[in-house]
Amino acid sequence: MNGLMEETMKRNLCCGLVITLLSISSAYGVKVGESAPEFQATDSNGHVRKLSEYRGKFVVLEWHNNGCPYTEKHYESRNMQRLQKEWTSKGVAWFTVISSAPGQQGYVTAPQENEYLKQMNASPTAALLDPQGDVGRLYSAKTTPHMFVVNPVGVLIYDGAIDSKATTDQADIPSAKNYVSQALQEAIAGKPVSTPTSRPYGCSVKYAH
Amino acid sequence: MISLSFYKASKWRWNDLIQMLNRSFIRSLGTLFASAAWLISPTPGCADQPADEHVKLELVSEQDALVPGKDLWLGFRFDLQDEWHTYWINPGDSGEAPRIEWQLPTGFQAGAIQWPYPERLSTPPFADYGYEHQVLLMAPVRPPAQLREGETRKIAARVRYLVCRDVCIPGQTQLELSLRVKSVAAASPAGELFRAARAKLPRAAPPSWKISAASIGDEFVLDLKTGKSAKAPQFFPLHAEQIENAAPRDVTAFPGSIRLHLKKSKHLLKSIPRLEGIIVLASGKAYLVDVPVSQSRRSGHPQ
Repeated sequence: MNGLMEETMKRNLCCGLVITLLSISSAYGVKVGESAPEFQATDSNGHVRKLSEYRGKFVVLEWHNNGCPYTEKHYESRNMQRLQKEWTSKGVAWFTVISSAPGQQGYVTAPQENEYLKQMNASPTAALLDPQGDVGRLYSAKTTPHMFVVNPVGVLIYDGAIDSKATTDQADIPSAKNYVSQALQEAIAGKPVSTPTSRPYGCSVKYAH
Repeated sequence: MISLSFYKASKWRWNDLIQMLNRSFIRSLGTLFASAAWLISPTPGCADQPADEHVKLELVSEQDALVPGKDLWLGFRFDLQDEWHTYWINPGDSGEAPRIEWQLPTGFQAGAIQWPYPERLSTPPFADYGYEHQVLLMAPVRPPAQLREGETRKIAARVRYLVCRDVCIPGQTQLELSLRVKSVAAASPAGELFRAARAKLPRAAPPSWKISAASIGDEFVLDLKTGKSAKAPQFFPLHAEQIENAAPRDVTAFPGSIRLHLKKSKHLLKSIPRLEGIIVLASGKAYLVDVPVSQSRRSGHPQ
């Protein structure tokens, strides 16, 4: 697996675009060790963000639904905000992605999302509004939260749960292993990611039907 | 017979209540009055949580009495509102299985929960495994041999669960049941629930069956030689993230056997030594599957 990842990373350095296009057409959507598919989405301040603009940085994608009890677990405990603050201060780009369709739980307009971020004291790099679910389906985002980590050469290095305790109970957070921080710490230290995937846990993403 | 499987204890916390109230009541009622009233008079472990609007939970006993030293089957009966569901031991793509935290009298032991086979709850691009309408999650409880006839014992449990429709609500309920100690027990009025639940428990496959599994490329191929033709069997994996839950199930019927093609999960990065799960036939009977996986041909997955 590590061999494959390195190989993909090397290939990716030479011809990132070709591999990106290939992986978009892959039946699996995204897969750890392969190039993270390019996407474009508008954030809650009206800026268009593209994944490829963040080459050279680690990128975290956090699927979000403000009415989902699993999302609430990590926001009301301030766990998510703490992670956002910690990793963005270390140069990581953190995107909160909202793929809830209009009329579905978690759907927000741009001003509503900005109000939420302010109220929650959340500080992702940006909150991406994906009401059509394009980015979500491209990544096969299943749950809220569902976390992805992309390395500086654009390879997906983590796809799964935020941590090891699949509950809605805030009391479980301190003793849970945070897979996102672990992946970032290991990758930054030049080590292979010891848990590159896990079962994402949470509410299903509320896509348009 | 009794395998102890206790779930981690987790205390009810005041914060949980406030948050639950904040989440559902304040938002849905939207009145300051309602929220203030609720905050002033909380009843921890109360039956007024929002999740309780969608599911009724009850602790029931198969027998009407405790017999010293003899296993007794108790069950957690979920009666779900239409359109709502809760989850199997492997919930599939989202959700969470109910967790039971027993509070047993001294000397009592509880065995593992027996999970009836679930339904595949498909909402593309996802599929979950769970229960709609009613389900009974039963477990054996063994009282100590030294109990005096005529005494009463209280068995209690906290159940934490998630109920979902298009949205999900976590709930927790404290349940209890008092039973008298007798030398002989009779069936309780809930006995029928246990008989119905047992019919949905997976059983060992008949010895004449031959079950095998192979890892071939992007899929596991599960072969069941039953000697009979079986229609539309369904496979439910015991472990999460081994197969793509939402992938269409490709089944081929041969004379006397069935072949299921199960697409591997993209989260499965290593080969698995065994495939575990249950197979449910159109007859409504469920059988345990626990077979070694032979590694045929090179897989397209990183190994």
